[in-house]
Amino acid sequence: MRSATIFNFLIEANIMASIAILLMIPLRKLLRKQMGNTAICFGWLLIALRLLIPLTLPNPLIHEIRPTYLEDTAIRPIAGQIKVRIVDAISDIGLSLFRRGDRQGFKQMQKIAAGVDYNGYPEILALILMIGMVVFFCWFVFRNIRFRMILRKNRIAPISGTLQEMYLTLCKERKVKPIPVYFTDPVPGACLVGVFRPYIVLPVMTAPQDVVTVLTHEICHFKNRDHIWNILRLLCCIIHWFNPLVWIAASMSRSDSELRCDDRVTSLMNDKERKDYAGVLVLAAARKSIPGIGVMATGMTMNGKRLKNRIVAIIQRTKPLRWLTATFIILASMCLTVAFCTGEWNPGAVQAGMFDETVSVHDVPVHDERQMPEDIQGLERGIWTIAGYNDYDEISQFRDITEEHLWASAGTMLKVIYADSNRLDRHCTFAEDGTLLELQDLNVPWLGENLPESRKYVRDDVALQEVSDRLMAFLEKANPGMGQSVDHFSVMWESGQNGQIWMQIDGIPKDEKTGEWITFVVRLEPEWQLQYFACVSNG
Amino acid sequence: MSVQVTEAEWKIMECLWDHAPQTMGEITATLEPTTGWTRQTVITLLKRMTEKGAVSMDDSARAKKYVPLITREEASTEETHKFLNHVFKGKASLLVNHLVDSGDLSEDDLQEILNVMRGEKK
Repeated sequence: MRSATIFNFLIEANIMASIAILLMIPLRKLLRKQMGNTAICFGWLLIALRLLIPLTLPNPLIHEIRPTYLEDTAIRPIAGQIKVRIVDAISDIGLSLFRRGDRQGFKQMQKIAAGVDYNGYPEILALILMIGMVVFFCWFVFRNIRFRMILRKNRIAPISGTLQEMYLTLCKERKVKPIPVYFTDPVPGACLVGVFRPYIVLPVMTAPQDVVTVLTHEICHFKNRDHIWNILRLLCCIIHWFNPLVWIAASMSRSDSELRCDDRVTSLMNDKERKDYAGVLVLAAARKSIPGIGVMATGMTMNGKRLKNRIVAIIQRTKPLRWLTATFIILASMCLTVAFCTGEWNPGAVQAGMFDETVSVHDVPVHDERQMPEDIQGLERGIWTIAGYNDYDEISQFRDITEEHLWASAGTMLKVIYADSNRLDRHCTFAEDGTLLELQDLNVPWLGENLPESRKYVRDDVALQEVSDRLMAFLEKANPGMGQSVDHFSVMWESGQNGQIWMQIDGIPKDEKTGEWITFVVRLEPEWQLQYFACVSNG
Repeated sequence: MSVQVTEAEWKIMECLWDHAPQTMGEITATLEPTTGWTRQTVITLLKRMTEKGAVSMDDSARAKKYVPLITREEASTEETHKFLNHVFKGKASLLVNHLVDSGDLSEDDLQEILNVMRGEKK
């Protein structure tokens, strides 16, 4: 898996989820009574879904933030912006060090910027992230296995007799399928344990008058699927272990699950029963019966101020406002959908200018059949077309042809110029036998300006191969047979500006002493266009 | 040899310290009204306590009888040490300070402690 794929997911998920977590924190504090604990737990569920599901939906606006010189189209715009901003920030630090005369510091910053940009730092970071995930996964697995082993060792007996009958009656009342219940000793408090085959652990020291209350609480956890919730929380913490907000959210959602469980427990209770229930919670708090966050088990209580708030909520029991709850659920669901919209609307648009097929509109006469100068116009039309210019009919109005005698060995060369007062300035030069010697468009930015460097294609072997293939195809059309003398292509430079990218790529001959040196300057984006071609023979 | 006894096992030990030997049925009959424990629970706890060395079983008679192997004082000492180590880092002085500060020790209690300490030194 490429590091770009990992970063796309982690960066997008963490940015969206972190924003949502920061919104949830005050929301749950200020509007808990009005919204209800179920709505708050639903909010946490949506955040967990964003953190865990690597889904990307298209977004028509996201392309606007794609950095211009993003090296790799596999890096999506958000991750690309982060990368470019980091590289820029490091470069700025380097520049400020340079201005202060610290050349060593400047070089170091340049090295770091290069490392982040293309020299392997992202890959190292991805490896660290993966190692962190493995470490946390192993730690959680160890803790849970150890916890389960201790519980198994301390198991006394399943509940039986009168207690069993009471439990089955309770399950029927609460419309819950009965799950096993085991007396255990020692264990600090009752808990629901396990995911696929859950069971309830009941301290053997639980007072008989409290057993029903305790079991009610645990089966309400089961009905709320809190044992599955635990897995989601753990997965979020494992995958996003580096984000403290995720850990905070996991802890908060655990507390909110308890409050939601209380709501379900007390929904069928009268005032006296609610007070008794609150009393049991206080007693359980004295035993410090909370399993740790890494353990997949639900405890019964909390400590300190949270317990106090919980007791107050149980006794007061306010009903949430339905319209507010519904509004929150709808808005939160919409926000989740938007949070997944981080993909580009038309990924193909980014690749405009990438090669898909060789252009061959007009036939170019094969070499041996070229009659110069009679066939020259047909030759010109064909060559300009396969060079990516489809305006021969327009430019031919400004055509002028001259003879040149630059080298004796080249014989009479025919130079065809297309120029007007409106910035049209192109030419192509043919040898006596119709060999194309030069083709040039002089109205191009790369001639006069010092363009910024681009590295989009030069590091992409597949893209470079496509460029080479297309140039070879041009060569075979323009000068059949000339391509056989080319040993390999070599990139001289790549520049980019305002959505355009150019590259000079030279064809190195097999025989450097007598072969033809070929130079191409091609515009790769937005559309392919060969803007300069020249071949020089040493022979 | 120190034997650590859980809270549930302590209840059984209390039963045996009050009157020993007792059968499992007798112990269950004593404890069930207050704890709700069934025979199965008591059997499992007794088995564990036997393995730990807290009780021993005499199976010479038709009904197995259980006797405690540690005294109440030994068990109390063990629990006290455990409590001191856990809460007061093993220092009894910290416990006494806490009791004095919280007002849980009366003048008579303090005098009694002093008398015991003087008696120990002699």
